[in-house]
Amino acid sequence: MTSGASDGPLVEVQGLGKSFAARSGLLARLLRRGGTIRALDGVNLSIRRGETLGLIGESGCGKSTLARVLLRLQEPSAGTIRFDGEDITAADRNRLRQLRRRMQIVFQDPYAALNPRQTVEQIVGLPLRIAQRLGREAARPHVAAMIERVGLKRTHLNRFPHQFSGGQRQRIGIARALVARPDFVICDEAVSALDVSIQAQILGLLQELRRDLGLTYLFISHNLAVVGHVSDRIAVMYLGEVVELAPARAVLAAPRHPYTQSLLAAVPRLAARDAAIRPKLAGEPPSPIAPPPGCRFHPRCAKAVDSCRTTRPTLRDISLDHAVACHLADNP
Amino acid sequence: MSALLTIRGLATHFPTQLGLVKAVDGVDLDVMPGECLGVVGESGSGKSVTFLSVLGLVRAPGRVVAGSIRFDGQELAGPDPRAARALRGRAIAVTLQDAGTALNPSMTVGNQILESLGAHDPGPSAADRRRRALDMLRLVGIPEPETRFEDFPHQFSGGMRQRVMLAIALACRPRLLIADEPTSALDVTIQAQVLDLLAELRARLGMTVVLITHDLGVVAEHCDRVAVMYAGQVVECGPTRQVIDLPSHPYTRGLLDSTPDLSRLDRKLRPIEGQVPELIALGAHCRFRDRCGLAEPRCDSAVAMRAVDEGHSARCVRAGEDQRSVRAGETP
Amino acid sequence: MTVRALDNAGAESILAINLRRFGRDRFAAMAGAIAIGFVVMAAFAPWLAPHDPSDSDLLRRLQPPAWIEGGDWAFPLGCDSLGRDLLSRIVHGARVSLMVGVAVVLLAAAVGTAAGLAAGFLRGAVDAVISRVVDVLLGFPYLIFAIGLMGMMGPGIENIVLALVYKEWTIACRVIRGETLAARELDYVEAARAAGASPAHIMFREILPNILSPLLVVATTRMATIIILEASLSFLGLGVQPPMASWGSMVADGRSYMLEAWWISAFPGIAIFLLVLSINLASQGLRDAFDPRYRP
Repeated sequence: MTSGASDGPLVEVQGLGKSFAARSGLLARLLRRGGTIRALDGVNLSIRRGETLGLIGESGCGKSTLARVLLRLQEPSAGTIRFDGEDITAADRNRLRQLRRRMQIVFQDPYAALNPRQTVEQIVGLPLRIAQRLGREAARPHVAAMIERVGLKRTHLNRFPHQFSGGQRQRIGIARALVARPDFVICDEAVSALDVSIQAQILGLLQELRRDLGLTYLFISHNLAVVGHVSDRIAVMYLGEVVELAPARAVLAAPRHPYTQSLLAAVPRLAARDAAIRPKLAGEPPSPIAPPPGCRFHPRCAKAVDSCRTTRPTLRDISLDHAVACHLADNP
Repeated sequence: MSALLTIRGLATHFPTQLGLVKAVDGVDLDVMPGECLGVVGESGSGKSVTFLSVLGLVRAPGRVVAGSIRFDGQELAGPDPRAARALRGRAIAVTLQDAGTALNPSMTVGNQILESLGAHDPGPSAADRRRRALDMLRLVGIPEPETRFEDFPHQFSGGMRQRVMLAIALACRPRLLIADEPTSALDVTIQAQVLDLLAELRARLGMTVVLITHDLGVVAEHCDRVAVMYAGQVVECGPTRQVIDLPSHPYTRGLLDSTPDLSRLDRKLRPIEGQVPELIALGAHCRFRDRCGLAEPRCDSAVAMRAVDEGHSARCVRAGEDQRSVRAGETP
Repeated sequence: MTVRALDNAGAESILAINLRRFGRDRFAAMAGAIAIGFVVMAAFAPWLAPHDPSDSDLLRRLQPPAWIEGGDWAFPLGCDSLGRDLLSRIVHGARVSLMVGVAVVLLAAAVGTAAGLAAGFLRGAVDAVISRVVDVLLGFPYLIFAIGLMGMMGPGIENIVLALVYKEWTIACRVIRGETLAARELDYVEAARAAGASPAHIMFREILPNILSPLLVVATTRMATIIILEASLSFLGLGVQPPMASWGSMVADGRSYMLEAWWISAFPGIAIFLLVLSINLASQGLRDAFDPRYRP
């Protein structure tokens, strides 16, 4: 589907870790309150050419950090990132600039994602001017074509972001991400800030563009229903690690990790269902500064046994193309 | 049975530099005692402003310009603002979407509950009041209420803050609780906890609840009846299951078709084309006309609510006469 | 509740919108007009002033304003102890006040912006060094610091400017550093990084244009303070040297004649008051129009 030389996955990460100092203020240091937040802790994931991999999880699970580390907007603390077969974990500035033409991101907040002082043409044209060193005049036809491709008009090129609605701004952000013809696009909560009728427009546009331009998506969202509608495969994150990875149908119809099961049960549905059969997930996610030993989910898990409290499960295949990080996944 | 809250012909307008914004324009609603009424709509539909008007909390320069709001037979929209103020926080309580800013950051949550108790019922002794405040924290499921009593809002998680806000709202034993997007800022598992708590409290205290939300799934699972709002008007109102299964207004249909839903994953999302109209200089015609695939000459004049079924009505010229075509939603 | 811009609004930049919003604030716009009036007065002083400001005539010594017994409409505001025309001296004195004010604010903004941008964007050691220097400088009382420097450098208009800039840049630096720290986390900055933009591009094209509004607001407010400081230094005899006129030194000149000729001190004092007040009011209007955080 894409121009890659090999048949392997387009993106592959192994043992990816990212830690932040929890609090570096003077007071915190004096009080010894400091600590390390493990935003990512041993993430294994591969994204196949041409697929949409949905990534879901609740706030603080590390999904946005993963997006930024994948693009090397933040440096990983551990592990490797391979893009199109090449190890880019330590790629230098020049190599990164070449790579960035091929990997792009669409942000959540359509208001913060566009520089308010620049015209649409300047905003959308930036990747072309940098990656392909095109001048303003040379970039214009590409910019104009892309703006029309995302459903806006040529006459919008000289306008400023504040003159557009949220949905139109998101279209501008998509045009910027796609103008340099990348292979891989991360959609980080790209439709979460939009009203549902507009959200459906943007989801339709993203799917159409993927088909027409042969893109590979990492589609990050906290909304399972949205991810369910667009993904080929789904990865579920909890507290900095991937706990389940399988084709979308399998995750939604027969989830094997207890966390995925309770997440699915908690999503409100339009169809009538019996409220009593919904298993309730008690408590809140623990702090990533002091994650529990063993399985990170065990304090909230109804099925936890002794081994869950001591041994951390690894992500392993339990059937063809279905990986789960749970000791009990074999006997549901 | 007579309604607890009756809204008739409510209009709330905001003068702006671009013109008069008719945020709420002719809303009729009944809230029956003991029910949970869902009010659903996208941003700018007027769902929040309608109930801010009920509470007398519309911010200047916004103003209720017409209509009647009767609570238990008492007129609240009259010239005397004291009528609304006397009921607010006593018989009618409200929780807001953003618990982070709705709570006073420099006051312990215990004191905020005490204040809510004291403002409306200065009678009992300090010890009694403290006991009742602790009861409230226990009621909304906050663990270790005695220690959390002295904590400040920032020491609580988002879900716990929403519970604290519920405790403050419920401290005065209101007959009507208006919950404005109570779970929109929360993760889905926490959202399920808070909504279940709300349902449980409603059953236990015999309270009437108005749940304002943009999420049709939340309405489907938690509300007895639903009012759908669009561009400052109620466009459809009826029993929840009937509205969701047999929508009679093309906008409701469009909203359902564009909502990603886990119970209908094989169905393709169908966005509503176009955008919500500007609330300035609206014509007399049906407000959905320009986005509606079924628009016809009759839609050019004002459309009133028409009965579809027992307790189910819609603001559409076709409502009740040609149901199949509305439901199929074909574009001619 | 938000209202989208109507679709027929043409391509209008934020600067144009802000300026229009400022224009609608009648009160602030009027104050701005008065401040601009002072600038015009300073620019055309030689043509506007009825007399040579240093033309002294002891016959006119302590001559009162025209409307008081013994006054003369040829010298409407009266004369000082050397018989020089007060109005002409005030008109010329505006040059000193405004020149010092503008020069200090511009220099300080340039230095402070460069330092603040570097500190906020590069962080690390650069930030630590710059921030410590700023902290130390901010620890000195402003006037005493300037008096000390003037004592070392000697009087003169260039030295006033230098003495004030030495400390004044720290204010712009703090503002710009804070704004840069906030701006570098925004998605559009991240988007530029994701596109492979260089640090220079990000600093000067993405961040800087978006943090100039708060700087503009702070700079105008500071201008008023600087004018008062210059007047204070000149009042203490450390400013411009005679026969050059400065409002501060004119107030000082009149001190010994307060009882017999109050006008010598009063009119330059009123001029300082009017200029500072109009700048302050205009800057408040600018803040409302340009800095959305303060918008009601």
